[in-house]
Amino acid sequence: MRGSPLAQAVLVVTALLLLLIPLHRLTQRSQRPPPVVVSTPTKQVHLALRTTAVPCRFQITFLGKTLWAEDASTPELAKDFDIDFPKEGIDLVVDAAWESKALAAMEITLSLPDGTAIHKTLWGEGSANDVLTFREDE
Amino acid sequence: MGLLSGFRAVCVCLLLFSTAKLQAQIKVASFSTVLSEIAQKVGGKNVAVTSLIKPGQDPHEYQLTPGDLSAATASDLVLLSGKGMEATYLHDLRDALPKRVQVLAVGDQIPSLTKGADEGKDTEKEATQDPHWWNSISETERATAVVRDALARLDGQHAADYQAGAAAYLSALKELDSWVKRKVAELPRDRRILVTSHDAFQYFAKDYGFQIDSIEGLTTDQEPSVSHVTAIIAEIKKQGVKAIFLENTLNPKVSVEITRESGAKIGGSLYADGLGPGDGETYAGLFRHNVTTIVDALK
Repeated sequence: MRGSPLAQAVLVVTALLLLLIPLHRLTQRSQRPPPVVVSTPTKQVHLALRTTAVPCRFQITFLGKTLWAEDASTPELAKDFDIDFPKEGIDLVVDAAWESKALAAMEITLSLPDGTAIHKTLWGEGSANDVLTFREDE
Repeated sequence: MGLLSGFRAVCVCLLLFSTAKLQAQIKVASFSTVLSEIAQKVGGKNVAVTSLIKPGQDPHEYQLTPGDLSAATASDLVLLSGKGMEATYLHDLRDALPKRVQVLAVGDQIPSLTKGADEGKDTEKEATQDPHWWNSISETERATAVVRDALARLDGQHAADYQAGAAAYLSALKELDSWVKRKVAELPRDRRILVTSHDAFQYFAKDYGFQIDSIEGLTTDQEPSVSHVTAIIAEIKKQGVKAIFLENTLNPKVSVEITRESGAKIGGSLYADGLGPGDGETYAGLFRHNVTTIVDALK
């Protein structure tokens, strides 16, 4: 091997340092695993609303987004929705406002494809709002 | 004449003394940051509250100091979290306090969630009371009523003031609870899995439909076992949990390691053991911070 001893030493050290790169890659912790995606079954649900007073303005919010909002002039309304419905159930945020300031109620019935029907009622004078939980096992 | 003026002087002294007594504040020493806020809100100008546990301080690690004992001794009412939170120094504290000082373990007036015996893992082990009742707004409402009644018993003259102070605070708590329900409703119920540093959120979980997986136990001095950490990592992977949470008073080392192994991210830091610097300077601020952090990270 030719060259000055210093140059040879530098060469050897550089070679050793370069070897450290693949060694580090081999020994370092494996990369963060991707999070598992757990899918929730989507179901067709039938929502039926019955209010004791009209006109009634209402809004139903599901997972932070408006699912159904309407100015109801009839006491009964119904609509179908395809939504994720886990076994733990779902929460619907319901805001209702009546023109009359007298005590009024809104009944919400959620029906699942297997025939299960869950009823919840909201009461208020002029307005009412609440988070209603619908679970299959109720 | 001399007798009459002497009588007048005595009357004036009595009047001055009674006026001073009327204006005297009830001295409250509190071993909980949340109870300090409650006492302040309910008591208003009629009480002087000394918070012996400071915002951001870990109450599990607190040790009674001579200065704090002096403050407690000089008070009329000592407020404790209860449910075993003060177990390491409660005996010494009770021994040292004069009889005139009333000691109220507020949490002991609130129904307990327990851990241990009900899990069926260790039948020999007694169930441990979970002391973190303040992480439930409904339990904090109960605590407010307990403090209101204690102040009214101690200072009947201002009972109406305490009633009004409590009513205003309870109304604010109701509004806060309504906000929390709406915010939590943004999160699907099957994603409500809360992995935290220590087991401080059982009361919160009960109120808002969460499942809890904690790295440490009910106190912050229990190191997690390797098998427990492995089980948590497996559960995070199985359930597809997006985030786990740190706490403002604890070392994040194990939590960070779990994120590396599980693929979950750090969702943020929570106020688990009471008020703290930043958003958590007030109870409402603490709750809004915790709920926003949890919901936004798990969505």
